[in-house]
Amino acid sequence: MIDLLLRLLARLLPPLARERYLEEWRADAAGAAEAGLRRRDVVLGALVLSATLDRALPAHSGEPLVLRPRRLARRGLGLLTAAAVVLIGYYLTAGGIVPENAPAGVVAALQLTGRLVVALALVAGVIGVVHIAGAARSAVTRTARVSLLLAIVGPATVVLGALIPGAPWWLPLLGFVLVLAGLSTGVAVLGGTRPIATAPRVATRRQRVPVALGGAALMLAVVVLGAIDLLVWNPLAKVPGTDVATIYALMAERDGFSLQPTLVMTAIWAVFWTVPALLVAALAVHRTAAALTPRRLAIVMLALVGAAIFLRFFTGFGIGMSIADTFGISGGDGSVISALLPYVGQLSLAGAAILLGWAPRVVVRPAESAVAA
Amino acid sequence: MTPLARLTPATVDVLRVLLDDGASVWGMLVIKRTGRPAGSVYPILERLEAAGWVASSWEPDTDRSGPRRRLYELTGDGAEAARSAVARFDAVKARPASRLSGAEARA
Repeated sequence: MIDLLLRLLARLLPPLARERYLEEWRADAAGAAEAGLRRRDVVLGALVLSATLDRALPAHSGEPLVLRPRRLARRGLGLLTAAAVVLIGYYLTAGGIVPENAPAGVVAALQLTGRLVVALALVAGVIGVVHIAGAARSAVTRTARVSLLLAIVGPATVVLGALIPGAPWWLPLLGFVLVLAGLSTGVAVLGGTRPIATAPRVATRRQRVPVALGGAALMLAVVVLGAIDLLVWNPLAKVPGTDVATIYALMAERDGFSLQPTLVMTAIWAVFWTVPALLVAALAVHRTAAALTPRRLAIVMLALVGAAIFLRFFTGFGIGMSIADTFGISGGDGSVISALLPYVGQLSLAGAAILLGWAPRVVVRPAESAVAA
Repeated sequence: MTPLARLTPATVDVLRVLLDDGASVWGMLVIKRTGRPAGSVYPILERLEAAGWVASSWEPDTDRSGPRRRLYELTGDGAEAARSAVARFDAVKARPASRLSGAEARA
């Protein structure tokens, strides 16, 4: 039990400190009686050390001090972008699409999904702020510190200005100005004298193939379901009790609707997003694409899926408006798939943003740094 | 070597043990001799090592099997700084007592 606790506490330490402290604690626990102490004293000591250890110290983290603020800022910005994507999606779909004429259980499940997604976005936003604050604390220059603090204050001002009832009209505007100022100073910092470190990362074919095939399968599923939904399921949900042929006939008669342009638009949408996803998957399966690590593949695939779902709105706009004009109802989507896809899209884009920020840390082992020096 | 941001009584106790011993001391013996909890001594040793006051190493080969013990000792500069820090701490600690004895003498 003591050993398990020590191993767990060692896992909390930065990479280069883990092995050293675990062996030290194990030796201390084994010899505690010899020193007239109890083994649990060692566990308590390890607990405090794991909480107070200076994680930024290159000797422990293996990460040069100058890279730490950049890594934290990148992760923080990824998380804040993910939160923003979900919250903007929530706003654009007016709190999530509610399927029409669907069973109450399905509607309740979708609403619960919406609340969970928003809760996740808020948690991601808070963790992002913590990361950016950490980056600002360890930043080397004042310009970098100010730029990172603006990355927190700017979006917070926009959110407060938009959410607080009776907030002055200029508050969100001020927030956007602060965000722009943060971005411009951030670009100035990145374009500064210190080059950005890059680490060559590669993956084996065995690591790449599952992500490549999974990404391609997700895209195919989205395109097939999205296209069928747009042409069949959504019209049926909007005009219940009527078959698709009758719906199209009525639309043609009353609104001059022609199915052909919608079919062409849908085909273009499907091909436009499926072909790049399949090409990326094929490239990843090829032996020479070692640089396409699972993380990079996932970023590309999730970004493609998110973009495809977002732009489906424009593909379906014409048929939606025609349904609205023909039957005197709203033009908004009403099927279960239409309600579900935005969450898939938001989570895909949010996942891509987080993965983009979550580049593995550059670890320089002491021996390597000695050689480099 | 960097100066310590703050010198607590527990840090002084750890420095005293390391100064008194003069050689490499096993971390558990530092805990025992200071009478301080491990939760206090472990982080102090880590801070002292990070600041360059203390160096640590694995114990040389022994007959004992299993994980190796970590031994701590003051570095050359660290020993000098530790002596000065302990003396300064003792002087500050002694000051109120001498004032008190002066007051008692006047009374």
